[in-house]
Amino acid sequence: MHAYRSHTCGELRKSHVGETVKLSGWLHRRRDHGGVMFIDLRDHYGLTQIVFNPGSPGFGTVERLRAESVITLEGKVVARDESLVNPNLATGEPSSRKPPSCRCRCLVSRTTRKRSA
Amino acid sequence: MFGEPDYPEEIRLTHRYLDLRRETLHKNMILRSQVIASLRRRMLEQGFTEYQTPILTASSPEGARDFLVPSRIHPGEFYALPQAPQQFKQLLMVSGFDRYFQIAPCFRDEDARADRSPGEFYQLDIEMSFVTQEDVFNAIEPVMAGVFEEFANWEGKGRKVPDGAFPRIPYAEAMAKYGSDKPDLRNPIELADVSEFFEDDSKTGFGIFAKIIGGGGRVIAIPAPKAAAEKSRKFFDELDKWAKKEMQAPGLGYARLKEADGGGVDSQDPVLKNFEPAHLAALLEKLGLGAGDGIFFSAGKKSDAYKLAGAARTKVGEELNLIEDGVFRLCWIVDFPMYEYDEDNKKVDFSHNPFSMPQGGMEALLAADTEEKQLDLKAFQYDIVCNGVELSSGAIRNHSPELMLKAFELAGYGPDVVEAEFGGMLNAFRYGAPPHGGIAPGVDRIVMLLADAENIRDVTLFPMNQQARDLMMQAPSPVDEKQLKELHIRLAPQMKS
Repeated sequence: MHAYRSHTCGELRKSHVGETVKLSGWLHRRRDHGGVMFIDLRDHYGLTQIVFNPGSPGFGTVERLRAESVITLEGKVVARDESLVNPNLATGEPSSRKPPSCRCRCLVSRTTRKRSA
Repeated sequence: MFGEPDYPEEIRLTHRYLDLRRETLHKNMILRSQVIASLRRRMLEQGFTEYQTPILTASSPEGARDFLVPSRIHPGEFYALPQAPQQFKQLLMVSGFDRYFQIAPCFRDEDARADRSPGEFYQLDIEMSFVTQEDVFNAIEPVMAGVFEEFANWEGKGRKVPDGAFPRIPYAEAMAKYGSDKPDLRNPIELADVSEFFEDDSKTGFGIFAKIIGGGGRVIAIPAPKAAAEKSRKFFDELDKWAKKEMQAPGLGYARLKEADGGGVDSQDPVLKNFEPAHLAALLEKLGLGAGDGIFFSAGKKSDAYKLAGAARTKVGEELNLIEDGVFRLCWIVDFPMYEYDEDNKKVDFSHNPFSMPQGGMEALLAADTEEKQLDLKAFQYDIVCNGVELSSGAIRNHSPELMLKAFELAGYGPDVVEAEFGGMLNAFRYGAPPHGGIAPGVDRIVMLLADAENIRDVTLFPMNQQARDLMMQAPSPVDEKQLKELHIRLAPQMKS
């Protein structure tokens, strides 16, 4: 697989569900939901939501990273629950005419750059 | 349209609007426009976006001499015109943009050459994020191949662009085979290091080369196929003279090969005359030469020997009419050395661009604990060369502050120096920088090749002359005292007319 990415952060659709992908971008936002961590990964092309379950490799690393760090992640594409579809996100839209919903479940494979401030 | 009478350059440039009525110039300028339109279309098709970067910017500490522009609002301070949008395009990647391009004007206060305007030129400036060298090649190769193919038959010239990927030639191989990092692949001659054959002068009876090799030098052979059969002795002597006069070399040895009386091949010229027959046969086998062929020899310190050999390869190829006609042979030169030995200061220094990513990253830099190992380090740096013309230089950039400080440390620059000179870039990288890289093909040179032009003035609408003057607009020129005053500038006394 490519050193940095197999897809851009604006690219994943329902048709990618089940694939293992690699994404790179800036850590746009991180939220903790009772052990499950969500990250919005951003690049020139868009945002993709990343899900870390407790125990996902790299969980601890990413938990400590500051916003706007540049990271590379590898993981499996999973569909979003219909109730969780984010209509504001191209990668999170439900209908088939518009980009379908999906969620990228990721395992951190490496960190290319950390904000060292 | 006008005919094409031969007027002196000065008259032509003074009345460029008349000069441009020549059919050839008119056609060249149309070609230039079409090439630029094609480059732009191809870049957009590859998913690139065009962005503009500033023309009035800051003086940069590296590279060539800047053109300066005095500030009216800030007395005593100056803008500089960009030598290239290098820092801007890298900062665009840090800003989160991707796949940038621009047909960018670049300004360098350098002396003119036939293939370089004094002052300004245009490049197809390109940068991409989250890429390896391979990605840059895959994005740019179709653009370059495409534009050369599109205009190969311009004006019915019927030129060809070979199918398939551009050959990738490591720098070291280019130097060894062609004596140049911008080899003309239309020339079939390949150099060969034949030092091993001359080490032992008991087998050669030729002490001069043995002595040079003993002193750490090399002997490089330049095969000259069929030269002995087709050319007189004068041809060989003229090349020796050329080496002495044009190349300031001690000379160019030569040997003409002919059928030996008892069968086999021999040479009556001093270099090979006293070779043991078996030894001579082995040398000729290595070079793939036989009776009727010629060989030139360039001997001396390794860098000098290759420099002369590279130039002689071109010269011999041209004189023997070996240069393939009607073809654009494009190639990549890859794996440039990160460092070279600076003979003047007796130290290791950057050989090309200090901001290129060293191959192997931090691990490789840490492992390079001797000068020898440092000189072996390679960079992710690459050129595109076409028919012996360097079209483009590019690199994967070093985007890591730690790695950059280490790379400078190996060249003897402390962190204080790096922070003082390049602090802006380093700081930007500390805020989250994507791995990135790019390239910047020269537009003028592409058009020159396609137009078959000898001089860059033939593909530039309003060029300056060799002395960096625009004779038509009369630039540069003195300005009013009032303008100078506004700019807080007083001329040194000897400058006043």
